[in-house]
Amino acid sequence: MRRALVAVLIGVLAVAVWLAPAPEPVTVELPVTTATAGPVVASNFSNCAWAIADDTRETLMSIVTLSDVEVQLTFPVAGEIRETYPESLPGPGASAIPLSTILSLGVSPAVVEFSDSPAAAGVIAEGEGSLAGDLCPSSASKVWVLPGGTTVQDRPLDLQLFNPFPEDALVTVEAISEEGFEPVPDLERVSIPGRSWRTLALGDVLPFRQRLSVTVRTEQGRIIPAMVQTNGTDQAIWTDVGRSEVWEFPLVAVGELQPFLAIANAGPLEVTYTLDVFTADGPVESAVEGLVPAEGHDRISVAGLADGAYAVRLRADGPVSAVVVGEGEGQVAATSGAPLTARQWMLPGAGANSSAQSSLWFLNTGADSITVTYQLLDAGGTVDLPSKVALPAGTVRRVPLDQIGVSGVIAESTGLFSAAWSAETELATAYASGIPVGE
Amino acid sequence: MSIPDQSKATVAPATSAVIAAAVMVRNESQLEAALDALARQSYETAYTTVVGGGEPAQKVARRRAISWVSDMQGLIAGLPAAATHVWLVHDDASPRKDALAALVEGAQRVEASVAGSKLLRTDHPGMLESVGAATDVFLVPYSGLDSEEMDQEQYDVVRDVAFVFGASTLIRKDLFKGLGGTDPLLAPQAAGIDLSYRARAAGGRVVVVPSSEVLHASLCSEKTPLWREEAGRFRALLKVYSPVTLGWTVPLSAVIGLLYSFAMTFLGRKRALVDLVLGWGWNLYHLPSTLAGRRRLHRSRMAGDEELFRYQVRGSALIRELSDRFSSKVLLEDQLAGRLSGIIERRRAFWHEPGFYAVLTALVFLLIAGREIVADGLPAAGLALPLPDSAWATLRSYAGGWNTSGLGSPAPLHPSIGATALVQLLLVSHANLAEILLSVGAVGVGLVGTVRLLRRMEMGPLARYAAALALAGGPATRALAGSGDWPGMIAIGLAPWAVESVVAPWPVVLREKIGYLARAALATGALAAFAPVAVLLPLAAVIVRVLVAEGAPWSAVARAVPVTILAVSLLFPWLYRISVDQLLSHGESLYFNPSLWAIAGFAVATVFGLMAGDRRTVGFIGWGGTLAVGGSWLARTAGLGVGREPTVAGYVAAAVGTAIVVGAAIDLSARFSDARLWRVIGGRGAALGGLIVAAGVVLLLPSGRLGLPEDRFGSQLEFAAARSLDHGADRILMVGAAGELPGESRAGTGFSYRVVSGTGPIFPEAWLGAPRQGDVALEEVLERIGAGLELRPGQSLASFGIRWIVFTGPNPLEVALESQLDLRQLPGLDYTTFESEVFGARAVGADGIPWTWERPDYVGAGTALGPVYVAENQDRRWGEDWMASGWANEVVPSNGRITFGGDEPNRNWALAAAGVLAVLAALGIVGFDRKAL
Repeated sequence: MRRALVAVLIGVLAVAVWLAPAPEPVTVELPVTTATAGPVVASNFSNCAWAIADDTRETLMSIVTLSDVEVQLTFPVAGEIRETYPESLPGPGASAIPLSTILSLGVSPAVVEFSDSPAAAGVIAEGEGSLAGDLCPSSASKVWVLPGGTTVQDRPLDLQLFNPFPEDALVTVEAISEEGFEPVPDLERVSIPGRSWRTLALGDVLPFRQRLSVTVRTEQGRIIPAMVQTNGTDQAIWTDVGRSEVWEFPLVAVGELQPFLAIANAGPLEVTYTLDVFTADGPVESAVEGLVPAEGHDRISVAGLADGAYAVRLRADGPVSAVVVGEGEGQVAATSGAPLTARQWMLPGAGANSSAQSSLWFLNTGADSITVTYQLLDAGGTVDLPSKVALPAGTVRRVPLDQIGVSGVIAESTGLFSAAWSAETELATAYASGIPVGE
Repeated sequence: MSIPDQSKATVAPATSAVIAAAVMVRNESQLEAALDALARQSYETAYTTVVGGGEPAQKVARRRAISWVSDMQGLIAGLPAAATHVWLVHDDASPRKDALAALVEGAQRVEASVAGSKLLRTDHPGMLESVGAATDVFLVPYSGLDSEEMDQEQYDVVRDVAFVFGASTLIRKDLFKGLGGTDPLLAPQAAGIDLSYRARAAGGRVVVVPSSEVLHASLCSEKTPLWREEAGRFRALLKVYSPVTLGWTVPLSAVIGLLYSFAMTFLGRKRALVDLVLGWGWNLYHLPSTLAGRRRLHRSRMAGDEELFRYQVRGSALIRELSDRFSSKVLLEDQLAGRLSGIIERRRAFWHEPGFYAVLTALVFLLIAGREIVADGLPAAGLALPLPDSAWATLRSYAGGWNTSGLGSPAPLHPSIGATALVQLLLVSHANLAEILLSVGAVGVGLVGTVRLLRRMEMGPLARYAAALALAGGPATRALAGSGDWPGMIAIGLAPWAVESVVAPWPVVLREKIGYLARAALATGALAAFAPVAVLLPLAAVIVRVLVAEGAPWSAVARAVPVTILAVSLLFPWLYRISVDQLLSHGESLYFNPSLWAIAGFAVATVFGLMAGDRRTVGFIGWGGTLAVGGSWLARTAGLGVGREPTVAGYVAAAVGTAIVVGAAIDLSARFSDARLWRVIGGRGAALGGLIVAAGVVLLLPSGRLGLPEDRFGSQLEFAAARSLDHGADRILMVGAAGELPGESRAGTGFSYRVVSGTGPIFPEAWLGAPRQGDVALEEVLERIGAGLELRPGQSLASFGIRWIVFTGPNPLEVALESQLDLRQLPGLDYTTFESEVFGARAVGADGIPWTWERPDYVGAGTALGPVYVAENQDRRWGEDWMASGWANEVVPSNGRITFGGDEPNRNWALAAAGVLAVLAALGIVGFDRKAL
């Protein structure tokens, strides 16, 4: 009897042991190491891959902030921090700091840090017959796609690779021209030492290419690239702000520049796209259609799509990169489109160049009318009272900036829209995208 | 060679035995003399054959008209049908005229199947060479004769012996043929042992007939290398023993052989180790024929191993020989005759005890299984972390001081930390020695404790030793040690003592009763210090025992209750601060998942033990089985959200219960070796299951770390101390999966992390306190870094005194650090490691000069003025002149030192516990009854 009881006792306990559940295994999911650059959203730091200050050119390091911030500009050179520049900026406010007051070494990329967000930075470089500017991205991706270049005669094209981080970076640059993919040994496994940069003269390794797009893949470390296109005395700079199926270009053509859209498809499938045109009077949908081959690019003229000022929206059936380029006689300007719409935009550097005619560009591709309120800013804070512009559904507005001493603009609305700005002189033009403020 | 005629009148055998004599030729030079001696025998041989020896022997045989065969097979085939016995004689032997007659008469009188003659030395006919002999359990011969002992007929009585030397052996023909004769591969002495043992296993009786005298020249032995004899004995052992006996004799024989050979290298036999290896190799080479011999014996086997054990001496003859040699080397001869001779004799008696060999084997096992710990100290992994240099500093923290784990807190330390610090203090703060003692010592203590516990249960030695092995190497112990739960491993070593202390008989004298309770409380308290919930194990054990085992007294339960209460008092101040919820659910627990082999072995031992066991065995199986299975259930509650402490208690219970079951199973087999068949089968089945479980102990041998994981945070983090600045090593932030970090960790988004001191993780910092302000602030910083919002993580972490970030595996935080400005990756290290370029010490004065951390205080220049920023969790008791600085502290120092003021309640509890400990120790000593051992 006792034997049986003991057996039953042990048996019952054994069943309980067998039934005891095992704990759930813990799996660590590594984030997808941002394979592609994300949309530039106002953050607490910006990487300005290209800025220049020498005898003939000056760059304004422009900053816009919504709240009081402490700003620090850090200039890494040849593996060390050569210079840091602190500044306090009340918010909302903007500042345009001449680079030459900090460093005058020629090309001097920088990291701009803010003690608070949202804040954003951009650069606007000016010289004799030269005007170039663009935003400074906040992300440091592993893959960057930069379409829109050309290396035809007298059109130098440089790829600036900025590594502000302590660790060395190793990248491979893949180039696609009108002849397709062009393998170049000199562009494979390019090393960029920590806290330094390298400038690759693409015209030297791939000359006389009508259309040139590059994809920069990072094997080790991180870099921030910028394309620098020269035409005559003018220059244009642009960077990669991500991949999207929808791109808005509030700014398409300024002055006599002939506008082109450069579209790059880094994916394995071909992509068809449609261009919608937006004028001051309303939209013209599906004005143009096209196709971008897999791992290829396309360059399409968007000149003469409408009378007067007009904007373009690109809709694709796959994620692409897109840049608007304006070319003229001895002039060039370029900027990336806006891969998303937002209710609030920062435009660092808009109006900062007192010798240029600056314009703000607002695009409303939505179905409802909106009113955009824009505030001019300088180092002291706001300049004048905010201004408003009505934006009916499917329209674009160009707003000239007449004030001087402005360093940046903040624009906001109750509805979604996109924004950009341009600056032009008699001999040069610059395009720059706005920076959306994340909600 | 003439033989002095000292023949005595011999009575003729009652029944006629027809003898076929076989002269085994090993040295042809003596063959003629041997044949002459055979021819002169008063008892005539019907047939004579010469065996072996090649052509010279063949010629001699032909000349004398005697048959010749080349080998044993030929002899067996040629034995005439009429022969009833075979007389095997060496060619270097000269039997006296009546030797054969005496042999036949003596064998027939006692109905022996094998009879051997008394051997006298040819060069000194009055000197004894062999009168039959005993062996030990490993078949090593032990003659019992003194060196050059003269024959004074002092051994002249026919008696059973373990073996007879083959120089003159009479064996029944049918038995001889059934056994296949002697083993031709064996050396002479080993062949005699082999033949005698196989004959006894086949049901025959082996005797020596001293009235049959044979002069032996020992030429066969002279020509045979010693290692052949040793190898031959081992082959005989392999052939004759049952698998269960082989299961322990083979490894023990190997260990003793190794010890013996090593010692003999220094005692005049330089080739001893080489001979050992030759012997093993020889046996390996001849293993197929050995196994064939086993199968042949199995066909004619009539007796079990117990019959073989009857004529063996206790202990090891080799060890006895070593002790004799050692004694003779150490002591002078005249001292041997004095008072010391008595001591030596008593020592010899001790050396001859089986327990001595068990202790010796245990020591060898511990040295081998723990060799890496002995050589390099404790491997740093999991909760197995090295002890710090200062035990006193740890005790200061324990007694209401600052808990330096992570970013610090006033939380009391785990009781195991106090216990280890106490041990270390007793060893004059020698950390490495304390680690070895606690690790290797715990296993040793567990072995001894299990033996004591089962001796208390009146189990036999084999059962006790197997149970001890099952405790040390059973599935629960191996699983817990393998996870790096060092305190749990120590608890398992202490558990048998705690259980034994409450099942021991209750004394009669009041003083001894008090001592009993005190010692039991101490043993239980020691167990509880390393596994707090296991404080209930002794109480649970006695309750279970009362319920399932016959005859267990209920009074043991009444005694266990105050023992448990007293033991609980030793867990303060830790127990004072911890809530029930924390006790039951805090910490990572290991889900117990034993291997199928272990489960099968345990199940077989339990089931067969219950089926075949008597009431006593059923009681033990029920007791041990309930503890083992119940403990296993508790150890598998990780999936139910149960924390570390209860599951470790489950492991401890499972380990002790398993050991009891194994012991009971093997004890059953030993006690019922000659009972009914079903009981014998059941007992053997249970023993087999128990041996399978106990065999797990060999898995501890390869690593040399007693089952603990390999070092992960020792040398891998040495860079921090090597690159430390003048103020000492800065903090390290370690990031990885929870199981890949030292001690406890905190959870981030997709990763776990913890802060360790720059000198590396130490045991007192294994556990983390509840999160405080600094921990929350650090978590927020890490979340920002992980989200990619921090471009300067080094600067953010500097305020925490963190200079290093070490990643033990890929995780999201490491990905986020790919784009940051002030952390530089160090190349060539085992783990991905970043160094911050921003200066940030644990404590910095207003003048920017860092203060040195001398655990648990901070030390700076005596002339330092102004507040010092101390990167520890905020607590106003850091100084009288204290201010909060965010989550940290700003303290105005006093005389160049910053010391935590202390937590009064914790200190008081710790002192009270120390007082209770001292009182219990004193009562335990005063009330100690030596006889109770």
